[in-house]
Amino acid sequence: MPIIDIHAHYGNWVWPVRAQALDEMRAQMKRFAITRACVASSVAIMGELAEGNAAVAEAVAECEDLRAWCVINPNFLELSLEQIQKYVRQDRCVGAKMHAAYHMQPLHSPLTEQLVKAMLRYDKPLLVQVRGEADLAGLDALAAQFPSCRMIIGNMAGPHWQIAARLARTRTNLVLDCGGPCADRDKIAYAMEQAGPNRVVFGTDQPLAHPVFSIGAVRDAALSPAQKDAILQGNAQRLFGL
Amino acid sequence: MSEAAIRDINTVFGFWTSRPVDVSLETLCGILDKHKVTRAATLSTVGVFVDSRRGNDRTWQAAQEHPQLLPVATFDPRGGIGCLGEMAERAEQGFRIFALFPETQGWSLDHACCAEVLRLAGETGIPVMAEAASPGAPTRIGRLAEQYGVRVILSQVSLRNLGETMMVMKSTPNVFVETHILASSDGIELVVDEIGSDRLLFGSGAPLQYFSSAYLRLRFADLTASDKAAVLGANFARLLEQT
Repeated sequence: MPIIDIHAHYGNWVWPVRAQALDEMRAQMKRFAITRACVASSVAIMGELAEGNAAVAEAVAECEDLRAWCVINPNFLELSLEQIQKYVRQDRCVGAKMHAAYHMQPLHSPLTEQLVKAMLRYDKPLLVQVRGEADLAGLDALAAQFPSCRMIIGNMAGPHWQIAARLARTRTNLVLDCGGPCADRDKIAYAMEQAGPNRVVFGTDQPLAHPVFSIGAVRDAALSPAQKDAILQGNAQRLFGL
Repeated sequence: MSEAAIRDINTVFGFWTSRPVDVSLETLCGILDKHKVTRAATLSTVGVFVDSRRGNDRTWQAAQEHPQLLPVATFDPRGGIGCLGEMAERAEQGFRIFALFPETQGWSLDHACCAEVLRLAGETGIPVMAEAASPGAPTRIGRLAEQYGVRVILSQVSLRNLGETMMVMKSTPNVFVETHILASSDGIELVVDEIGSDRLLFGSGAPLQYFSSAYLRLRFADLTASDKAAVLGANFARLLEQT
């Protein structure tokens, strides 16, 4: 079953995880039938926005099986707006990513409102990594304010996945990324139950989690083969126009 | 690769207070049978959330009814000194491993009873599995393990504290790690490269966690067949099944 990974990374981390060279990443993708991976720069997430986004843009320009997330950070508003203008319009960029554990700002603020407004012209989603319940509440408010902007909850908010799923039930522009290092056994079926069949997508969070960790979770989820296929590729194909 | 015998150090059965997930004994046994797990260490969650004595009784009973289960006794230091008496009883009864849940139960590793629990475990020679999800926890548990000569299995180690854990393993030879959320792309391989494979134990976290997440992670690990077999089951057998 071919897989689209909507949430992967490229570059080094502060954690003890080896940065993968492009060819290693792509070889691993091939090994596990991942036909497309959407990658965000780890360096950009950790703060070096321009350098990191440039590196990813260069990488995906060479690789048909990769797509880019443009990382943005409300602490660097002007730079983030420039990055959106520079990259999000490109065909191989799937949208923009914010990571609250690094930017440490409320998710609903005048700053994030400006970033979302800038995204609206491109009709591409925002991938948001949250820290916990307060961030989820902020994201919910942002999603309510901008109902035409699809917002993907990265890793379904980790251990707070129940709250994330319930928000997606009522907020139809929220999408759930069901992968990552949280492998709670009821998570994926609950995501489908709350968000419906079309708004759950698959992300590995690699290299922070090995792809098979999330693949194993979908494999074991109490869902039909058709539902699993929708999660692994169908919903992402539709969301990103792949 | 011929399939190595799978032994799972980390399973539970009963209920989980904060999630409406089916973690019944029947569900656990079904998962273990489906994945051909030879032996699984397990405990009743009644012992974690309600009463360790009742929980340990249920654990023992489940192991008598299902021989593939190896019973784990748990103690809750929040109850104070009473747990220490039960430890001796359970060691006498035949429990081969103890487990502590400081993070789920909300107590500090500096708790006076925790030190006593580990000291007593050291005297009995019974290994102790302890939650060590937070940064700093592996270090604190490692110090206690060294002080009391008790074999400790760190549970819930993830990328977040893997660097710290590897330092602790390097300096403290009686510290082990179970793998259920050691999910990162090369975390298991890093531990094997730096420390060796003999102190890694396969854990699934079933039925709270998807079994295949942890299992496939190990099955597709970039390890020799011998290292893989060690982590998947041989280390468990050496630690818990051989007298």
